[in-house]
Amino acid sequence: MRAGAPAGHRGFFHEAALYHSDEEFLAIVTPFVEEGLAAGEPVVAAFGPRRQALLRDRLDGTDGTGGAVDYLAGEEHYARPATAIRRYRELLAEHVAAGAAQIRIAGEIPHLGAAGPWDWWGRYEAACNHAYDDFPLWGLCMYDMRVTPPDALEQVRCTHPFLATAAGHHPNPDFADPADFLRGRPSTWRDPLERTRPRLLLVDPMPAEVRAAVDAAGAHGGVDQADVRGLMLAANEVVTNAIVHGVPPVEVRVWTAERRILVQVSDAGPGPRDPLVGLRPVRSATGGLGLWIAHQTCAYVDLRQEHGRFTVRLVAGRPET
Amino acid sequence: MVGTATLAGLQAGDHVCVPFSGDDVRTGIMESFVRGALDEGDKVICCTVQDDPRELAAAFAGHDPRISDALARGQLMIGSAAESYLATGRFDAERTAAGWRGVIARARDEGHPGLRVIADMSWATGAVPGTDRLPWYEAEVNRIFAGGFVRGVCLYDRGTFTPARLRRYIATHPGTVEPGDPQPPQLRMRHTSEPRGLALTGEADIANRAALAAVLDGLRDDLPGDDPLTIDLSGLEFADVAAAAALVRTARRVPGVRLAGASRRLAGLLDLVRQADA
Repeated sequence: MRAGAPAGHRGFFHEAALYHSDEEFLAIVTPFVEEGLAAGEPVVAAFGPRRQALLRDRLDGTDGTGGAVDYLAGEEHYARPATAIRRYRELLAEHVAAGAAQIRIAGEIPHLGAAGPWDWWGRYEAACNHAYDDFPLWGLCMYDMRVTPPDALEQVRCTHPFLATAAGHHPNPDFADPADFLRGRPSTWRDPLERTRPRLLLVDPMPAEVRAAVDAAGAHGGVDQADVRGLMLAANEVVTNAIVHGVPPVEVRVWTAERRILVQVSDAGPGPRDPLVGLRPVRSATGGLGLWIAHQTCAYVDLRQEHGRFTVRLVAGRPET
Repeated sequence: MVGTATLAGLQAGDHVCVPFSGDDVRTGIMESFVRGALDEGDKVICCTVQDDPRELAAAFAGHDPRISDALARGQLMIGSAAESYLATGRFDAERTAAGWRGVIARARDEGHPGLRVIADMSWATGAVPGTDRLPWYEAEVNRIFAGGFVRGVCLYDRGTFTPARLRRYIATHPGTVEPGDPQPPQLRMRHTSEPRGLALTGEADIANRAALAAVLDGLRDDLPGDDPLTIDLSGLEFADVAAAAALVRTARRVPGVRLAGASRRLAGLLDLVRQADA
């Protein structure tokens, strides 16, 4: 039996809370944690250091039960959406195997306006409605209204079926079907490098040529070799997909800046049909495995249909916001 | 001309596709391939389509006094596809693949340290019945090459094949080498005895996907028994996700097969694939 608002709900109870102050943050998160612990449910908190200290102080200051909370370092956990989904799914599977009736996770994506574009977190929030739905999870996504940009807020409103306030829990009338949301979502992020001439343009290359191009770009300096290798694998997969599933010509462009490499791959086809592709694990036989792995080996991935071409952008190093 | 046609990076056990343009390039590659074999005492078979075997033999003999003797002794065989494996007017992939065992046994009996085969594949544009089985055949013979006794060069005339057809054929070879390229082929696959199994060297991606799949699928049949088999990945510098998935599936499906020697990066990829495919 699930305690709290999701009682009787099956699968993922995905909730957002928009708060305006530290007090409001605590007024929403504290009861979420305490009621979970009281019901014997596993409780996970994934916040940046400041929020985590705030929450720890409050919980330890009240009844000392805060020690039972599983604290994850938010910056690290929310570095990449596909990685966050993979790790959460592992954690959830362990708790369910141990007999948990419900798992509670309160978290905050610590990226708003700080490191990397927000855009793929909008995809994450939509995709996780499916990616976690085979678990009895109550997820509380905290958004600080003082720093959340308007376009991110718009996406948050569309991707959470429930809303939490200090006063209670409500269905969200703005929630949109995740697949529809992802298909219709205007994606506006561009790397400023795209306004410059690419370092290299390859038309209909074999993947080995693309790997060599990424390797050469990596020798340019400034990006960690492990990240260059991750980009090389991702570019290989995206180009292979374009050759196997796409429509020629396949065009690959490579840009380099001081601390990043951008690879853009496009083909004249419509792109994959699954709007959640890349964010959730898939069996190798069904396709999409390469994109899922690309999402974990790159600092940023963007997929979109534009000007009649399916275009994938892959970034290694420090993405521009 | 001969100088630009050396495939200097090849070893026994390699099976490469050489896309080329021009009749001179084709005959030049064949000639340097033949001379290289004679240098090392290997048996060598040339299978022609666009060249007349007798004219070709005469031309080679004009440049190298060893040729006539090698032809007479059967160390060198130059014949046309139409008079050998296409003699029935159709390409019988299974029969042609099975025929390799006898050819290899004979070369061993004759005391040659190795066998080298070079074939003009320009018949395979689709007109010959059975051509649709050529990709299966080209992939399947990698199991024979993995034995390490034979090396093979398949000559594909760029002017003869559509790009899509050529790409399909290329993927059935572990490596594609340009004429004159001294590089080793992209991927090497060899059966090993200590430990018993398979060693992979080089890079596995879409350009050799079908070749790798055939060798992995045939591994237990080619190394029969119920003893453990090791797939040594220590020489595998790159594996794409499909290659990693094929390795993970082989280790799961075939009892006794284990993967060994993966670099840290490859081991990470294999773990991700295992998770997704769990």
